[in-house]
Amino acid sequence: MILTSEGAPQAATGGRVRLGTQQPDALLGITNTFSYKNFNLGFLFDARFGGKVFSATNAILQASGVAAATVRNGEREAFVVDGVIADGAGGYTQNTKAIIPQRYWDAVAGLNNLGITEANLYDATSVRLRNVQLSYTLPKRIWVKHLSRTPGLVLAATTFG
Amino acid sequence: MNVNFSTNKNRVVDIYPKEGVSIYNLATYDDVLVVAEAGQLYGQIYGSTYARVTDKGSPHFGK
Repeated sequence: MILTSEGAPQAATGGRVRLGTQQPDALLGITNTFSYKNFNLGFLFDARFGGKVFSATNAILQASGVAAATVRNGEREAFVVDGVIADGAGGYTQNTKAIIPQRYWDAVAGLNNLGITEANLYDATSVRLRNVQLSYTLPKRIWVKHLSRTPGLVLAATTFG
Repeated sequence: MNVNFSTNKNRVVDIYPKEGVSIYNLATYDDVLVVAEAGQLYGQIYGSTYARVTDKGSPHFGK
């Protein structure tokens, strides 16, 4: 990275660059259910491969200093960004200047409204366990006796993610 | 068990070559653009990048 004279990252001049596509290369879904006696267990896996996503949420959280990334090792100490600084004669020198996290994140995420786009562009690949369902069918002798108007009774616990 | 799998292949062939239009904004906010661009997948993301050393002769190239 070419840093500013104070040692903060900056956006490249020369306009916007193609950074990737929103769209996934492939999608995958798997559902299955298992039964054991009166128990039933089901799940749904949902996966998405490829594509990019830009997080404006992260940029805003970083710019306002509430993102976890803005705290290094539990502190907000000044640090030296790995990069070079233009020496004014067409060359570069390794940066040795430390800046406080507030300046760093202001430069990365506080530029205009959304910061440097590349900084918050993420791979959109994900594998999610969307749904788990565990159910228990009450034995006939219970519901026939007490709840005979119910055609069949299932107790279920479902989680979504 | 139920498995479904799909792949996504598409390409924007043209926008309006007669008038020299090869890129069309789908959504824009600040430096972040999502476009349809001839020759690319629909929904390309454009945006700003970090300044980097692009001079291949520089010992700091790539930084």
